[in-house]
Amino acid sequence: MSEDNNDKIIIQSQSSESISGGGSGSTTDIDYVRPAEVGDQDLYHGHSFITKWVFCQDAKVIGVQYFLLATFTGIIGLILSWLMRLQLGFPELASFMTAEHYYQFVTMHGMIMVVYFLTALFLGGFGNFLIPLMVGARDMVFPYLNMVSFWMFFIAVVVLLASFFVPGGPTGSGWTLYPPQSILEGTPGSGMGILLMCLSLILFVAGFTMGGLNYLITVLQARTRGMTLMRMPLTVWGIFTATVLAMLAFPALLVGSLMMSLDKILGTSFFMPTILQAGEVLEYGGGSPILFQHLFWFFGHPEVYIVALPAFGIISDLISVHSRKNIFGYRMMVWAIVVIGGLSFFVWAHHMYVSGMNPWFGFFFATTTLIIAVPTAMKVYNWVLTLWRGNIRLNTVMLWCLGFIVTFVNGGITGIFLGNVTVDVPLSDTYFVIAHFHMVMGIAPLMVIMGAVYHWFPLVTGRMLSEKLGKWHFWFTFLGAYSIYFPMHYLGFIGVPRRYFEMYDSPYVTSAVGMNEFISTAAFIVGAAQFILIYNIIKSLKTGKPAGKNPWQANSLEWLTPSVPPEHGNWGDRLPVVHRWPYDYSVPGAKEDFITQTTPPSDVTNSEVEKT
Amino acid sequence: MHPGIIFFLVILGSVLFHIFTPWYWTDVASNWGSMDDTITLTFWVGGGVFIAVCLFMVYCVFKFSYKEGRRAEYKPEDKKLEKILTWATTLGVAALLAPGLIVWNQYINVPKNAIHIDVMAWQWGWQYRLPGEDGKLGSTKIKNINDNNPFGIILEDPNGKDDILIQSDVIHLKNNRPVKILLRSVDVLHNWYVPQFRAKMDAVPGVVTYYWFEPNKAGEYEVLCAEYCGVGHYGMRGRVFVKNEEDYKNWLQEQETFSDLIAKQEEIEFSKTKLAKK
Amino acid sequence: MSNLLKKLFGTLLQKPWETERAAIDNAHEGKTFNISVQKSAVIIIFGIATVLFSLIFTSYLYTLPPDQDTNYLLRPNLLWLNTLVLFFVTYFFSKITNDLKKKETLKVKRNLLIVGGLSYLFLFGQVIFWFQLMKSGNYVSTNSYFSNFYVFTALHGLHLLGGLFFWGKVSSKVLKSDQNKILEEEKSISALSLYWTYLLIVWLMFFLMIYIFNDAVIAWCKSLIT
Ligand code: HEM
Ligand SMILES: [Cu+2]
Ligand SMILES: [Cu+2]
Repeated sequence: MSEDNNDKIIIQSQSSESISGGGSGSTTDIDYVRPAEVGDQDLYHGHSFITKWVFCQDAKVIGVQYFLLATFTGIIGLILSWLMRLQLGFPELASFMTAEHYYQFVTMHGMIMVVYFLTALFLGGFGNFLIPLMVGARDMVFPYLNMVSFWMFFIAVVVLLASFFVPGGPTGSGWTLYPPQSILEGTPGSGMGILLMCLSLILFVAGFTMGGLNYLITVLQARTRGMTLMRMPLTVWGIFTATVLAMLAFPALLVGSLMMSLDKILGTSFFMPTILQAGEVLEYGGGSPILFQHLFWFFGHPEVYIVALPAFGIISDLISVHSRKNIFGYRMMVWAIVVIGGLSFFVWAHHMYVSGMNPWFGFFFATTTLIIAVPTAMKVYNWVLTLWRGNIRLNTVMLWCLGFIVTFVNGGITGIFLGNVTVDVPLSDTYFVIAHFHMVMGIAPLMVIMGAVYHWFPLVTGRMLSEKLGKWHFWFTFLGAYSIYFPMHYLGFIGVPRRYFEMYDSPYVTSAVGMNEFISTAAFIVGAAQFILIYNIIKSLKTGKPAGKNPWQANSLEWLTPSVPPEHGNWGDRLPVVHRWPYDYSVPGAKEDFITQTTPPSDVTNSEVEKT
Repeated sequence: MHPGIIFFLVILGSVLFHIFTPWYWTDVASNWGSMDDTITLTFWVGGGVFIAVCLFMVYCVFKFSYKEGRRAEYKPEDKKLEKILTWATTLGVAALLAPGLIVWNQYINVPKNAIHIDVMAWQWGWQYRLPGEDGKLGSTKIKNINDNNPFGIILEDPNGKDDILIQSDVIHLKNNRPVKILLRSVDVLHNWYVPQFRAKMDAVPGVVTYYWFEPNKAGEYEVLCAEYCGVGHYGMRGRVFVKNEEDYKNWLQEQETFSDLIAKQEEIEFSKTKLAKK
Repeated sequence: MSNLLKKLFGTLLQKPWETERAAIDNAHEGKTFNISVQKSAVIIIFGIATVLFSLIFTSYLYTLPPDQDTNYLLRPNLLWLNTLVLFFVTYFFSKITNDLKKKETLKVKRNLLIVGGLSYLFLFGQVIFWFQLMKSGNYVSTNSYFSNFYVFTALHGLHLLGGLFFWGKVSSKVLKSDQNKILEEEKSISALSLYWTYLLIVWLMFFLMIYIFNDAVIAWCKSLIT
């Protein structure tokens, strides 16, 4: 397939930049636009099953592939969390589980959920599907590279899962992989397990970089006519900024994994000081464990925002569409995304307040961390202010949005606890931390994913999901997840440390037994509730209500393709021309409560647009 | 049922849970009550924001739910409102940060009269070393550690001779006297953490880290390892007794010094060679 | 640069919902920078590589053992020669650019070959130097100074190999084609030339790094972080 010369994309770009060259506004015809100057993209069209669905170069199919594979790993992560909760809540039922198992499950659960599930799903899944559609491109700029990107991810997942079957099992070093512990005896999977983990991460980063190149260049250089940066939906802004972060942050993970593998294989000592184990001095010496922590969190903190920013963007669009109201403070939302993205590179050591680094760093990182809370808070205000005086459809999508607001605000507030260095001292490494990050980067983004699934499923498949099942799914998930994590903060207050296989012989945490049973029960219910969605999807694929065009009366381009679901090449034989921003909902004087981005001004001449 | 009601009940439930929870922090047993204060402050400010935002959301859901034919307001932005919100948030955040930084400053500056304690961690256990009469700990080296010198004290260092060695996971502290915990690890990361004292810090192999506190309630406490250190992590416990001056002195007198240990070993060595000669 | 900033912030200040703004925006052609997608890709890759190499530099400074003989570089060794080779590559690339302007395609062909040959020579020299180091008893696990040294040179070499892969693609095309076709390849060739300049810069940074600092500087850096 690749030998085929067709897969070369040819883009002619003789044109000059035209932000300033837009004198056409003065022509009398208000609909006038200059004809396209960017040549059309030649796409590779697959004909066999394999080139169409397996080694496919259509970003939409790649998006779905990413989505499915990420969901698959997510389900594995979920099953692992069940096993952990079984051990924590009902240890007598989990007699098959040893401490080794528990730690391996914790590690794989954490890594899978953060990297292979959320990151892959938001950027690989939603990014691929939505970016070209939302900016009005036919495809990503390098479709072939895009295809390779997915298959690298695939191999990374295979390598990751393979570690379950090697001698010693997968690594049990915690998802933070801190050396020296991660590569020494005494930690499960310190042989093949950790090496496969490093290899898998390196592959993931390599694959992701290829995808990331595509997202960035498509957004910057291949939009359709009239699509200025400030006319892009916030979803694109979120994914774009997250990709920039990923491109700058992942090298740190790469370097860390690489050096750690060398420490393991070649006996270098990047992260290894002199160590005495089982009465013997090991061959290492001179390295610094804290260096790895710096590298890890230089990646790890932006990683949080790599997950959060696309979620922010998507939720903004969902709230706006289903409140029939423009997103409140669009510019503020864009600035906040950009500012949060920039600042996120200056806060990493808030994960290391009690790591033994120079304690003076605490002042700096506490300050930057709390500064980042301000733009984040602005986003929250703008979401609820979008609801204010809206015309809110209380459908399933909106329910997920509301669930997101509650869980995100909750988790954001506890983030202020942990970011403020003194408050962090008693709470760090306790269940308070577990509760915090599950709320803010586990449950909240999950709410967004679910909302997005209910919102865009009609576009992907042409059929609606069942609202009734959707509502059950929502309430089980939201109420269940909230009752898992809200009480868990109080375990942290007591001082129960995280990553404890068992704790009940402690004199003062015995009272936690009851709570742990409750939490575990809730976790089983929440996990099981996810199968409602799977059932809903399967059922709706067959018997769902046909969606028709633009079922939500949305404005953005992805709903305006000539055929639904959109075909390869997206736009039939003419690229769309954009005449307005995507938030013209309920414009006074307009016939309907939405004006799509491609509607030319002449169709709505009598509407008055308020100026601020 | 209207979804707004359920969301309202969730908020109400959270507040009630907080009021009636039987799970809450242990009584503080050190000078770090100020940490509890910063938590409490953050709790009220943060909790207030949480409740306000969520209630506003619930209100909107009730008031503005979909009605055929009604139009939402069209208002792209409101500069004034946004400005007010930005500044209010900034002020709130600054109010939380300032006390945090002040307490942190106390946390990293150790009072002069603090007793130094060498806390040595390994997979998976603790042992302790206190300075002898000279008030100084001898310097150590990991490579020196062996059965005869369990702390790896450098023999040439005169400060080390009278160091008091406690090869047990039970340590006693003097009530109302600050201690500086000097953490060191011979293998991987650990963290010496007593919830009632509030303070913690990682022990990192290769460097010595520290923190301090002043125990102010006599009693027995459990030490937990708070940094993942391998399969035995959850079992890496120990005990601390906070004693008044007299009890503490008695306890201290019973402990062995480094020179005692050396002497004992020489004795054993001596009898061994004697035995061998026979 | 200031232009870029102006553009960026100017963009962020737009109010896309206003009618006057809409009139201007409607004519926007959907491209932010006036460069080809290939060149955008090269620039983005530079961004990533810069982060990567700076992280290695940082870790290098961070874990350097204090009793390291940093003076060995002063003595004549292969590294100096290799650096010279890299300089030559850049020099020949500048010649290529000039010749392209003057349309002297024959020279372009010859110099492209020289550039590739010199790059391979550089890699070869690096490998030889590795062997020399190992012969003198300095392995990758000897201490963190050499660990970082080997890792950096390996990654730099890989980066170069990546460039050589594209060099192969471009030059095989150029060598086969006649004058007009070669001139069409100008974009790819200028991207290549940019790529090699970047490689030289990274190399010089590295060279400086292992050369100028001394124990005092390192001690200071370390005290900052731990
Ligand atoms: C209902 C769903 C989930 C349940 C029941 C669950 C449960 C757990 C449990 C029991 C732990 C181990 C706590 C410990 O012993 O320290 C854990 C750790 C973790 N979870 Fe989840 N989790 C869920 C979803 C997620 C999601 C969606 C994410 C994505 C961000 C996530 C990320 C993590 C991470 C990063 C860790 C830390 C792993 C470590 O300590 O190395 N979890 N989770
Ligand atoms: Cu962070
Ligand atoms: Cu531990």
